[in-house]
Amino acid sequence: MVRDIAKTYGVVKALQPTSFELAHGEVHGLVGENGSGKSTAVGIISGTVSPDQGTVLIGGVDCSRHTPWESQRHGALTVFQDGSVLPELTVAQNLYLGTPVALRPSYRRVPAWAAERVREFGLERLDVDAPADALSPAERQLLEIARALMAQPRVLLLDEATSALDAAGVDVALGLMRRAADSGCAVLFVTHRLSEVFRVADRISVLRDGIWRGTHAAGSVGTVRLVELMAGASVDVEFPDRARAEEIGPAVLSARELAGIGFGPVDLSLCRGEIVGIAGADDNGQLELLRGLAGVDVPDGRLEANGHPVSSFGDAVGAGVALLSSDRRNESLFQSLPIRENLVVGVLGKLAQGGVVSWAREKGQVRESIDRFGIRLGSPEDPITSLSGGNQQKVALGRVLATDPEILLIDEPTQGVDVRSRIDIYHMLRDSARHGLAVVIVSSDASELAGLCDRVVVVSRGAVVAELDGEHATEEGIVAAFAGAESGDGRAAPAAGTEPAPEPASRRRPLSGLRRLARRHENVSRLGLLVALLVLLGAYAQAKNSTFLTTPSLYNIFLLALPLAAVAAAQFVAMFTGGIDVSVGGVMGVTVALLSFAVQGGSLIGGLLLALLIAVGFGLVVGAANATLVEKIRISPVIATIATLGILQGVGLLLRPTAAGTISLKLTNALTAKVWAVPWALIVLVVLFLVADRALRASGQGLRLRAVGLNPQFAYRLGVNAPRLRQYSYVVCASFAAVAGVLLAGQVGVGDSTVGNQYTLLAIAAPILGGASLLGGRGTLIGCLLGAILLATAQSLPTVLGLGDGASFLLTGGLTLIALLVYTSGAAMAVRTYVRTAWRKLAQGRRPPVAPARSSG
Amino acid sequence: MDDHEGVRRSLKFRITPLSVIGIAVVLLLLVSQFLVTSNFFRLGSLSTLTPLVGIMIIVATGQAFVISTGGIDLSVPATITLVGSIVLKQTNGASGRLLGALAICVLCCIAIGLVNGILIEALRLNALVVTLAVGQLVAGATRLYRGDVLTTTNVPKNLSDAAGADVGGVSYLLLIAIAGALVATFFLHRVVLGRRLVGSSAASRAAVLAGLRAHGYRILAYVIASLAYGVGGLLAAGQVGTPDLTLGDPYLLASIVAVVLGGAVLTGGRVSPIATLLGAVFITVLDYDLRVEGYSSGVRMVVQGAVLALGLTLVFVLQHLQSVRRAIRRLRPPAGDAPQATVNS
Repeated sequence: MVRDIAKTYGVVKALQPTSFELAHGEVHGLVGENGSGKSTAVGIISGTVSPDQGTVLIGGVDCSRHTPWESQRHGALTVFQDGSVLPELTVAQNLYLGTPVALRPSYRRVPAWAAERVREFGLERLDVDAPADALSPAERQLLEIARALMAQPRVLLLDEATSALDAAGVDVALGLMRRAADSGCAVLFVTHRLSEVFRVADRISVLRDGIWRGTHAAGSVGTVRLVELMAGASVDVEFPDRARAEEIGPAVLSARELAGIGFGPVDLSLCRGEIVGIAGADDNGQLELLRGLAGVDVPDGRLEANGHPVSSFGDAVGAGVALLSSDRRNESLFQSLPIRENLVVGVLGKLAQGGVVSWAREKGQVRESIDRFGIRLGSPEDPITSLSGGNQQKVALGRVLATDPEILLIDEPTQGVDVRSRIDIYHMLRDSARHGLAVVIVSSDASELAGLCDRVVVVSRGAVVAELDGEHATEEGIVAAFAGAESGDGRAAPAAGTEPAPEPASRRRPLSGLRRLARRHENVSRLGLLVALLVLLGAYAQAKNSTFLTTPSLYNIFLLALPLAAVAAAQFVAMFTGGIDVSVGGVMGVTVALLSFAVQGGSLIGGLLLALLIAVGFGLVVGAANATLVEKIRISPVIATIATLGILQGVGLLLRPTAAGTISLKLTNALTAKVWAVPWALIVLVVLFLVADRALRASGQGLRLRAVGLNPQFAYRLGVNAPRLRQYSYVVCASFAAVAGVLLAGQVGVGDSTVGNQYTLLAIAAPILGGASLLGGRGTLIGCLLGAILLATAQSLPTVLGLGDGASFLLTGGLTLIALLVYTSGAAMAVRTYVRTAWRKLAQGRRPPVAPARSSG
Repeated sequence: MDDHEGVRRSLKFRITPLSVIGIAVVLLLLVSQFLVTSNFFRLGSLSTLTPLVGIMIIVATGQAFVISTGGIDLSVPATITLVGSIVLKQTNGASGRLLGALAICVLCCIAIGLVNGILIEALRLNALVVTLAVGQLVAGATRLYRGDVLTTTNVPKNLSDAAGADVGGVSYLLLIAIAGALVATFFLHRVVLGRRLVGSSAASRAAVLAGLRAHGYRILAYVIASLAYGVGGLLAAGQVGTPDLTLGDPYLLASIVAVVLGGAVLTGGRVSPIATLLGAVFITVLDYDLRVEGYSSGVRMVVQGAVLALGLTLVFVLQHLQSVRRAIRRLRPPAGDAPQATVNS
């Protein structure tokens, strides 16, 4: 069923050409160590990863396009390792999203349908109307398995689908797999938990280092043989000698009760001259622990480095701690800078005299690093991307070692590194340790830890479950230690400590009742806030000037709000899927200019129809251009639409260099006609917005749009054609903006394209005030309308109060910033982190220094 | 082997943003000389064109600092207009009071840059919306500050004289801008502060993990940008003599276009003041040519927008060109490298 698939990421060969078949009615176990290519194989079959070569055949049909929806259509359903549950949606909505088109119920029946399905799979304890946020990780995982099974797949792919389950949950999951296989489905169960594979699988395949190591009938191999196959005959890597006892110095880093998101509490101490490895299965908190040891994200507990208390990463750096991430693309190297600058970025101060970097000293330093670490390169001025993975890693390591750290924390020191560079790196580390450096290594390669480390700490679910003496640690021993802790029997042991929920409880403080209510009904609470603000502003204005609450004055505000509400709705469409369109003001301006040519007279109905026709047609053209620039040429939406804005403003000036050309009076009269103080057109908009909001909440397409905004990656995995929906949203956005231009033309009455310019900010401000998020997936159209009315009030207020027109600018800008501050969750988090750090500093200052902790072994 | 290959590679022409925009500028100047005006380097053309180019270079350099952090700054026009208004109102046309006005301008620009930078980098708000809104605030403050009636509409004579001065037809403003670009290049390549700024702009996470105060440096980028707009605004005010509320308007789109043409999007992180300078020359000369040929401001704006879109598309093509070339290079591994036996992903 799978033929010669292969995938390379940069210099990393994730999966070498591999062919295998899944048979109907079998559970096929796929095992391998971390990073052996299992997830890549699953990704290719499920359509989320497009292979460099090879084909995937499902039921004899070639899946050549490699999109999730194509795989789903052919009957391949996937449960992903890191999940695809959108926490903001309800359980029922999540189930609906992942179900292929043919099997979806009508949207109205979703809750009943979901309840029925959930019962079918024995999960009736899940409340289908509750947000998925409320589920435990284990429940989410079971939900995902049920979601995939509901589609009655021909091929079911489960990527580490039992990682968050307890023993009972595993029983349920394995039972579901068996049941699916019995009904004729081919099940591929990817895992590193051998005990579970033996319980359920008919055949077992092994992957190692991206190479297929054969398929075996489950009865014909034992655990020992499998572990051997997974680990392979260990590659001929000569590890440097371990540290002799006298080379290990006093403790230099000590952590007590260290805990953070995903790990802890952990006691650990580290001595000069030793290399300590942290082992564990994927995602068991090793990386989080490593970062915690460097004070990243302000962990709880006590941490002391080199005699200094550490409460933040800044402290740690000051105390001589260096952290090297395995993410060379974003975190350990400066991709856009040449090799030379990467090598010296940490030691600029040392190379400088009077703040100016000395050319000669910099060159000397670079030369020295290159020679000392054996980095093979063309010229130090070449981009870092010209190097192989191994040499990139040497540059990263060289950059860190050049700063002469006391303590070095490294994540995956040899990920994507060729054998020769690997040996060089081991020697670099050991030599540095001989000179007194203390090293902590997180690695998914157990043989590496066994060969290099003086001590290996095994971590499971964020807690230390074993500590092995490096001299006696073997690859099998390490794997057995974490595999044992992971599988059912080990969990009861007190060492495993933390219960399934990986986050320590301390970080999840219960919300107060009011805040929980506000979060549950986010839209309602935001709308309420907006209305309250409007009432307050109105009352204030009325108190200052009693003509404020009169029909003409209100009519004036509504009239101002009319085109603004329409263009805000346009912007909302773009923002809902996570985009932005800066060009909407330009679209409005050009539409006004176009109408001043096309609709100068004639009947009302004819004029209106012509105007709308022109608007929509023009919007389609601009929207298609924006969609192409953003989605096809992949320009950032901000800069792409600024380009469009420039072009449109120019076109507007071309059409009407000065204001000229009267727009049909009949049209302008109709568009400004009112009932009491409210323009008719605004009433029409309100009705349309309510209908559209309802459609957005209560239709499958609306749900898919929301999913794209909330998490484009998960939506894509679930088979939503996210790129196409985003393109549509740009087209709809521009068309709506053009209709807003028609409304604006009705008020201006004359061909003047510059009237659109002020809407660039206003169109973004109104949805944000109304509760939409720049990240997508949030807000309502009615919120846009209220936001527009608020902005219109803010614009007319200075006139009412007799202030200059500058005041209305201030109000608009101020309101936008405040709304952005209040509604951007990242801002609140950032503030909280700053406060937390500052608070820790204060607390640390008062506390006596920590006594060195005992070695945890 | 390294030396040999190094020599060969340095001789080979390399497609870099700098060489592309350099060639584009030379071509444009040739077109201007031979097709647009028969005597482009005539005194009259030079003395109208060079001050405009100078101001654009300074403003675009500021924008480049921001764009290299992955952000964008739309508060450019408001800042420039504010500076123009301060110079007018604070001096009241008197040359002697220029220095005091300058001090206020500097403080205002630093404040604007700090507000932008802190909101965007420390509080992680969206750069587009923040700079738009801050621009709106500054524009509002400018209007309130100017009031309805101004007693004088002319900048002090020493400022307009200085801005109008030239050597052999080449405006001092251009010379100042070129000097500024050279200083900025030196700052970014050889000064410790500048090097750390580059690192922090290029990869915020990597810079933090390397122990740099990346947020601080990124905020600094916004402040430097704001100060550059201030200098540009001051010179623009001196150049036009009667700065009004639209003083800054032409600089928003054009500064972004200049930066994009300078390749900042492609290189990301490394501000190249020289490439940005060439980008500014290109966009200003193109605008000038169109004006000389009698095209309206509408056409000129369309062209600016189209140049931006085309420039970005070119960047896209260049990027893909690079990946193609990388792929070819990968097919022929250097003989010294060991074969890759085992690789973990």
